[in-house]
Amino acid sequence: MNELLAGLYESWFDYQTYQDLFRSVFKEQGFGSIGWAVIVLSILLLIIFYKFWDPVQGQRKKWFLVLLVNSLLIFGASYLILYNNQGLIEAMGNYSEGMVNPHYFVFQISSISALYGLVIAFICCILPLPVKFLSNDNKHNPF
Amino acid sequence: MAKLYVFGIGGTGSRVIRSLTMLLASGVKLDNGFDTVVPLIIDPDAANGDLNRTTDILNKYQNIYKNSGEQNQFFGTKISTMKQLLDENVSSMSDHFIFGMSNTGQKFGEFIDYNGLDNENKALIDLLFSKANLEADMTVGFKGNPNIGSIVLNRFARSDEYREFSNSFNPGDGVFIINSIFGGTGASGFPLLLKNLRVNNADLVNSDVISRSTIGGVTFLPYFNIPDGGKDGREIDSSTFMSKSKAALSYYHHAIFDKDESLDAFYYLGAHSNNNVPYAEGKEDQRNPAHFLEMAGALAIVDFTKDFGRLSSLQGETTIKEFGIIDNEGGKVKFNLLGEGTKSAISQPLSKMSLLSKFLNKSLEVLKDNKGGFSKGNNGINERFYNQDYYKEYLKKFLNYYDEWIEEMDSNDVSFSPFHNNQNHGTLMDFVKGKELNKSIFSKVGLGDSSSSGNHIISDINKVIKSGKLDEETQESRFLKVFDGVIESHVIKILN
Repeated sequence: MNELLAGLYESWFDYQTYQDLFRSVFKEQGFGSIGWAVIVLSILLLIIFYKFWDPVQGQRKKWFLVLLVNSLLIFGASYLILYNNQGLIEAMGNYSEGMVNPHYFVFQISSISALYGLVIAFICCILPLPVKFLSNDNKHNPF
Repeated sequence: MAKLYVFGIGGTGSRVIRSLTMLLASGVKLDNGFDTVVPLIIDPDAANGDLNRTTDILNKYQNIYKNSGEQNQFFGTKISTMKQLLDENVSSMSDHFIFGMSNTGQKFGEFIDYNGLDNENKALIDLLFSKANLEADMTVGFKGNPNIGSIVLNRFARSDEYREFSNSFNPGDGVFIINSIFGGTGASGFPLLLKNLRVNNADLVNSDVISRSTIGGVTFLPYFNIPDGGKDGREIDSSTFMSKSKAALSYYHHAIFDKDESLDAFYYLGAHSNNNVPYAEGKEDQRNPAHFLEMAGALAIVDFTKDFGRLSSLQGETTIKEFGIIDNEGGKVKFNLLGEGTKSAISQPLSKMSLLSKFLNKSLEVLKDNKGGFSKGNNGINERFYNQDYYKEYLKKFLNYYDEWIEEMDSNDVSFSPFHNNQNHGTLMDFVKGKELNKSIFSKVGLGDSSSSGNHIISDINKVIKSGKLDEETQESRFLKVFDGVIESHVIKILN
């Protein structure tokens, strides 16, 4: 998981510039943790939506709201994971002007995680996966 | 399985059959194995507004019944015309609910060939009938003249419909007659029909069976006034209703009740109320608003089938019944003012039908937009369904008639008003007066649906569709069955 996701994040960056920060995250299984957070939170939120909330009216809007909340939670979870990464904490401590900004790096990785969360949740909703079949009233939401 | 032949005589007969149809559509069931109702409307006024509205309602009911599959509560009792019953081509008999009456499209004088009579017979006729009677145009009925009706209606035993009625009659079938006593057609038609039913005519098949069958009747005493009647030469005058009723009852006393094996059950209905209807001498203008008493008349039919076994065993003794409610003190009648028997017979079915109608009026668009299995699944109901005849021409229009019936009873005196009429989708299930649902804390602060929201119905509908138990049904049958079950469960919760 850690290796697989590291590749998915690295492709968004100039690796040469960010390699130290990536190494720090990779070393402490950071990408794996973020990956599990993306998957678990997306599925959890969708189960809450389809099984427990299962709204009857304004369904498309509420579904989209759940996707946004899911992304926000994933953003927060990534932030939390990365701010607990020892290597990144050290980099933040050693940060001075002209160096790669580790705070901004955390923000970027969390944003990308949120985007992946959105995509994962969307795929879970459009494919005939079990999560939608938990629902009575949203079995065909969004399609 | 037995058939119940319901003869509705005159305008009141049509209106009671209208009420009976509404009750049957709502899910009121007949007892003692009566699974088919054969309404027969006897009215010389073929253009009568009450009659045409009733036959239209009956036709819509039939179309819904035919396409809705079996074992429904809604529209669960078969209503048949005589022709459908016989399932054969009787060219002279139309496939509708109207009892054919020959030669009524003329003046009474022409009907009896007054000008062709010799002087002695003319003198006798002049004693019995006024000049106005002889000039009376019978195309609009007998306009409150039972002396005319008694001559004209005496012929109905010779009609094709009566012959086919006799052919189709089986042992165990029942007959029920509806009439008003204060008019012309009903007052004269009832004793004549009864006389013909009780005569064992060797020329008619099954006449012996009919003559020994169990027969019930409901007679309406005056229950409305016509404020403009009797003025400016108008022939129908409601101030004469009471005296006409007394005269007719006096006749019934010796012609019906003094005879053995005449009538097995007799129901009296009447009301002192300020129920005014506009003056109309028949045709399309005679379209009186529905009255609570007409529904009570329809309930008399239900009661007759319930009591059928006992009535049959009494052999010639007439059981007389009256109908009453708890004193409404001039106010509107709700379910709580009905007797226990009546309340248990109608409160659930009428509430179900009203909720169905309200749901289709207020919540259908929400249901159509819903992304559950009912509206979007392959085993649900597709958008095209709502443009098909079953829904658009029959069910929706029937429910419009139902709403009209409920509203008319509400605005009449006595006012039968068990339901609110100001719902929206969010408060849909707060429709039974005195049975409003409690709001949860969450719904009060806007979190979650209110317990009276139509969303609960939609959710349950989707649950039934998801279970797949209606997958084998046609769309029409599926539509009715899913609402039948879901609405019933909600109505039980509301009423208890």
